[in-house]
Amino acid sequence: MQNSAILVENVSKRYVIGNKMPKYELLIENAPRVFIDLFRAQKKKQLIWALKDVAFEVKRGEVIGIIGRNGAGKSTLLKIISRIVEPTAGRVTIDGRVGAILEIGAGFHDELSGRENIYLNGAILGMKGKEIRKKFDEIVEFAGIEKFLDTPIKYYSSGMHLRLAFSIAAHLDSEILLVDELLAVGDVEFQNKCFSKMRQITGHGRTVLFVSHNMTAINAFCSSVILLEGGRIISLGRKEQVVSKYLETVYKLVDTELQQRVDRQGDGRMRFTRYWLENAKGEQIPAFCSGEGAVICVQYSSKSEDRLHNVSVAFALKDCMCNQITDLANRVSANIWDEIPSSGVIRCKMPRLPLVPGRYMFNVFSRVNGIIADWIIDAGVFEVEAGSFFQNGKLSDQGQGNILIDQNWEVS
Amino acid sequence: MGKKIIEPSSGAVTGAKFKEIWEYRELLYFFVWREIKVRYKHTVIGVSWVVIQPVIAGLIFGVIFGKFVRLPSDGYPYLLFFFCAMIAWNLFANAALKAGEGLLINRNLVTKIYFPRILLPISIVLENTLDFFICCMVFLAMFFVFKIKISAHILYFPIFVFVLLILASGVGFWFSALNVRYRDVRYAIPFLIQVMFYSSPVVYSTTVIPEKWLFLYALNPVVGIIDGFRWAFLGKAATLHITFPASVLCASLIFLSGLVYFYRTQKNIVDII
Repeated sequence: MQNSAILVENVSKRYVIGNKMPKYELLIENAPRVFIDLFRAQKKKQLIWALKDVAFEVKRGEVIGIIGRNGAGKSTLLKIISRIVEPTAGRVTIDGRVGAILEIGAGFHDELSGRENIYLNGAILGMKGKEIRKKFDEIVEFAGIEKFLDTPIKYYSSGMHLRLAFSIAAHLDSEILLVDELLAVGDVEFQNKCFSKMRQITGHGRTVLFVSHNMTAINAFCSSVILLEGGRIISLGRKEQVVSKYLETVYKLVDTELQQRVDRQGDGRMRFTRYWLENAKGEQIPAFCSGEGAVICVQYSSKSEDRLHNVSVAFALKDCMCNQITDLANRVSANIWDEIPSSGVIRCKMPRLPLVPGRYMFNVFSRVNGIIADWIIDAGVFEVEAGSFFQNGKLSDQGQGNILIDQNWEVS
Repeated sequence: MGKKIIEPSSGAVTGAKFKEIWEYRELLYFFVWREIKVRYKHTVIGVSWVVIQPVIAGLIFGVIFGKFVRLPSDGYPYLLFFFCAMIAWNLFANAALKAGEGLLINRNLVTKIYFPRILLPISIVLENTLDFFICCMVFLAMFFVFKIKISAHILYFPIFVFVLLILASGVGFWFSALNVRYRDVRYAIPFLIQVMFYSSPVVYSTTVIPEKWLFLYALNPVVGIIDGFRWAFLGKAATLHITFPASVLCASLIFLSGLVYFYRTQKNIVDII
């Protein structure tokens, strides 16, 4: 314990679930119980373990990433360490002041000015008045809101709002910092700023626990990584190993999903069984990168051993709001295949992915001999991460559309 | 900074809980400051609202019950008699009403950041205490208008204020915790407050209550406090010796049980709010 900043010992967290127990109840039906509750412990109900026997140690100055799929218990773990929720069992020992950035901007008040909110939010995050005054100028400068300091923040743009919130949180001077997925927000310029601020924070001997879905961020900041699944630690150690183990579990999930989809149309002469993403070198990757080679790979099989004739395949590409962006179709961009094997892998290669960072989905569609063979709506999903499409090191702004187009500029 | 240990707690109220509230006093101050700042933003007459509301209410009640209905007021000008009770009542009613919503309104904060949740109802009581003192000033000014001397009992005034704050906080703890668990409390509170208004001696005197019922009547803890206020400012309150002990007893019970119930609820608050 001498050197450890956080010691987590067999921590479990149990939640009550099911429709047996509504979130809140009617007092009328429970009036007697309110008084019984005063003197008696809770009765047993239907339960689920969000965390089960989680144990690990974080040494002073270590930067630890926590990864896992949704519902794996990452946020619950951070909430326990930051004392927002109580563990059901186990113990956490913390040596040092804890600052938590679980949701930035919590406690902002719309009617108050930027200046007032800095003081309020600072106090909520646990800064002393003296400390806030000392850091005030730094916070304002980082957020870039000098001109609007005395404007109520309800008139702020969402970007300004966010910058201010992050700026306050980032200037928190705690020995231990808990961060939950904050790089997923803001325009690219500000994301870069956050990134370098995070690098600065993590480089200063502070202990950081960092939850993220962004493997790039995990790779950039963390020394070791904890992988949670179903409330248990299934892997803990060097980041390369744990991250690849995590990705394996993700692929496994995708496998089963496409094959087991029942919401599909077509006569089934050809069936898509799974999909994955590859980069230009043919390596499996978890997400695409804007401006780099991207390959959507879809595996298919068919009922008989016979080769398939006159096959047309299309992936309809949609943004995260389900608006179709384009259609990737061999029929248009190349030719319908006269003859293909009864099973195999179809690859659609895009040399320089012209999409801005974000989440995209695609349908898969195939027609064999003029008859629809398989058609799954929203068959796959992929993320596009920031990259330089124009190959000059500059990133495109977010909120300016989805598509990137090659362009030359001239003035005369 | 020493080591902190996080373990499942029993939800019991211990000395450590009070120490923690003290450690977070600065945040408490910011909560009060926030509420006051926000309340009068974008209002034309601003803080004057604190004064205008009770004065107008006082005048209306004064004319109707004092001049028309001619309720007995123990020999004092009815307006003074009524106003004295009203400042106590307003603090109680406003604090109880708003504290009841305290946790729900700040749901966003409660689920995202740790702080002793009890700061929320406490800050609401304190915020209303500020209004209360402004009203006290107005009340004192009335003595000059009516050219009546303030009783020497005023020295005991802080005791009654203390009991009033204990009561308001206790009720605030109960309401805010209940409101998290049972959403129908939200509708019950205003009704309850209204019922209490008529069963408290705000517009009438406790002397209208038959003596044999007096102790029972004073189990409404507001009764003894209002009696105390009248005794402190005006000098006389015939029933104080019965009503005040009953009210102190009741207020303490409400406060302590409220504290226990609040911490019981706080234990799992994020799971249910």
